[in-house]
Amino acid sequence: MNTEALIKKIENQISSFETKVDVTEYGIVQAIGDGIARVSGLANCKASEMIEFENGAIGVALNLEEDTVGIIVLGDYLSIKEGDKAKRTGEILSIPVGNDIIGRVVDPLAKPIDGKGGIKTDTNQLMERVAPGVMTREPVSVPMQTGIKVIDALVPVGRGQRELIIGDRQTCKTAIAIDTILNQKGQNMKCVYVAIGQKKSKVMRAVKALEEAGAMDYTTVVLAGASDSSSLQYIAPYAGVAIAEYFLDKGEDVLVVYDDLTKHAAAYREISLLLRRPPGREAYPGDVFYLHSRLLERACRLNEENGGGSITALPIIETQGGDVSAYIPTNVISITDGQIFLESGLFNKGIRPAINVGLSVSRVGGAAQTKAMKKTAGPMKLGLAQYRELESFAQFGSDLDPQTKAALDHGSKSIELLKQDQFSPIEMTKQVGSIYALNNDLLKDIDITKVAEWEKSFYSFLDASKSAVLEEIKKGWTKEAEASLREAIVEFNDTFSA
Amino acid sequence: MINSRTLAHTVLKLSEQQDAENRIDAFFSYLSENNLTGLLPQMLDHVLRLQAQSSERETLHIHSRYNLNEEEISSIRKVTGAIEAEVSTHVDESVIGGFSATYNDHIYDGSLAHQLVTLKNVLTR
Repeated sequence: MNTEALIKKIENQISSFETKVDVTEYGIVQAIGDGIARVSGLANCKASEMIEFENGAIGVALNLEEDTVGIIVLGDYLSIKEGDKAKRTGEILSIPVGNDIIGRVVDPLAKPIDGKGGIKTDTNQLMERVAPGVMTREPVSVPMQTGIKVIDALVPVGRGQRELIIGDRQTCKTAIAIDTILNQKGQNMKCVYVAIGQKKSKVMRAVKALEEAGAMDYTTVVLAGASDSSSLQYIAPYAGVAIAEYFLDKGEDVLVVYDDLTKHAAAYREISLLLRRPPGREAYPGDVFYLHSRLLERACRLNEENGGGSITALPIIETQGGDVSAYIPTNVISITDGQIFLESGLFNKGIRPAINVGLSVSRVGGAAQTKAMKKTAGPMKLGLAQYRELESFAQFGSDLDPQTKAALDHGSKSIELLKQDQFSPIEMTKQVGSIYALNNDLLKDIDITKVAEWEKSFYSFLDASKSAVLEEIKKGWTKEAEASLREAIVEFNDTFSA
Repeated sequence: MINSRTLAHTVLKLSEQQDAENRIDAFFSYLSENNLTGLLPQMLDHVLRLQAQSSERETLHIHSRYNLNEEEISSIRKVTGAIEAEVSTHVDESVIGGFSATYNDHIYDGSLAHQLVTLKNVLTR
C-alpha cells in the first residue's frame, strides 16, 4: 500500500470515528492478596468476565457473591491497593489468536514471551467454550502417528482422541509428548504444547529441541511456569485449547499436550482455597472433576459438515510412587480414552520408553490404526503378556521345553525391539517392517544383543534400496505388499548375518 | 466465622429495614449473649468506611480540564442521571478535554484522553 492510500485510510478511520460518552460499571477493591481480589460493587458483573484494575492488570470474576466479587488477577497484583477502582470490560475471558501464533512461545494471555516481537492476530477466541455436541462429531478413525513403536503398535492414538500419559517423576512423560510433536512434521498437523507449573529451564530445553528439529514451524508453546501465579497456571490449558480451536474452526487437525494436569489441579486448589470455596477430598474443591472434564471434552473430531478438523489431547499426569488410585489420576483416567502408563522400574531396567504394556490401553485408537500395523502388531500384545508370565517361571528352572524357550526368546526380542531413543521417531512403514520381521520369526537367527543394530541397519537398507516397498505399505496392506516386505527382510538378513 | 466486617454489613442492612430500632437492639443483645462485644470497635470502623464509600458512590464526581459552569454541570447531570446528587468537581489536566464522571458505581468517560486511546486501539487493531 502506498503512503497516499495509507493516509486516506487513516483519514477515513478518523472521520468515521464516533465520539460518545463511554459508560462503564466499576467497583472498589475491598481486599487483595495472593493474586485474589475482593471487589464490592460490580452488581451486573458476569461469571468469567474480564475486569480491568487501575494499574492496567486484568482479572477474571470467578466468585459472584452477595456483596462482593472474587477476582483472580492475571498479572501484577502487588501494585493493586485497597480502594482502587476495578472496571468491568463486558467481555468474557478471551485471547487474541491468529495464524502468526504458530512458532511462538506465549503466556496464557497469548502475549509473546520469546522476544520475537508482537503477534498479528485476527480474532478473539473464548477461553471457555462449550465442547462440540454429539451431532457435530465423527468417530475417531484417522491415526495420529507418534513415531514411537510401542505406542503406534500397542496403544495407538487416533486424531480426536484423548490419551493420558501417566507415570512417576523422571519417567520421560514429557519426552513422549515432545517426540510425538516431532513426528507430526509433514503430517498436516498443528501442535500446541502447554507447560503448566514447569521449570522454565526445562521448557526452554524442550523449545530448543523442537526448534532444532524444525518442529516449531507448526507448534505453539503456551507457558505458565512455576514462578507464574496460580491464576495464570489455572487458565493456561484453556488458553492452549482456545488456540487449538482457532485452527479447528478452519478445519485443521491439532495436537494439544497438557504438561501437566497434576500441577493444574494444584493451582486450581490454591485459587479455590483463597476464594474460600469449601475444600473436599485432598483439599481439592468439589468441581475439580469438571475442571478437567470440560477441558478434555473439547478434544474432538468434527464431521465434514462442521469442517472435519480435530483436536487430539495428550494430557500428562504425574503419580506419586506409581499410585494411580489417587484422586486426580483416577479422575483423568476416567475422562480420557485410554492411558500410556510409564513405570520407573522399567525405566531403571533400561527399557525406554518405560511403557507398561499391560496397564496401558487405548480405548478407541484401534479403529484408527492402519491395516498394515493392525495385521503385523496384532499378536504382539498377547505374546508380551505370555512372556511376562513365563518370565517369572524361567527364574526357577533351567529345564524348559522348547516351546517355552521359544516364547521367552520371542518376548525378550520384542522388548528389545520396542526400545527407542529419545528424539528419534520412526515412520509407520518402517515400524511395520521391523515388527513384521519379529512376529514372523524372521529375527530368530539374530542374537538378542544384535537386535538394536539389526533394526538400525534394516531401516537404512529400506531407505537405500527398498523405498518402493515402503511406498507399497503406505498405500495399504495387500498380499503383494506383504510378500515384497518378507522378501526384503530375507534379503537383508542374508547380508546382515554375513 | 463471624467477623467485624460481616457484623458491619449486617447492622447496616438492619438499619435500612422497617422497625430498625428494635432490630438493632436485638442485634446488640445477640452480640453480648455471644461474647462478641469485643468486635464492636472494629465493626464501627467498618461501618464508617462503608458509609463513606456509600456517600462517595452517591456523589457525582466530575473531572475536567478546567472549571465547569452551571450549564455544563447540569448537562452532565442529565447524562449521568444524577439529577439531585451532590456534585464534586475536580480540575484534572490528564483529561485533556471533555469530562470524566463517576456516579453510582459507573464511570462516564467523555474525555478527550479516553477517546484518543479508543482511536489508537481502532487504528492499531
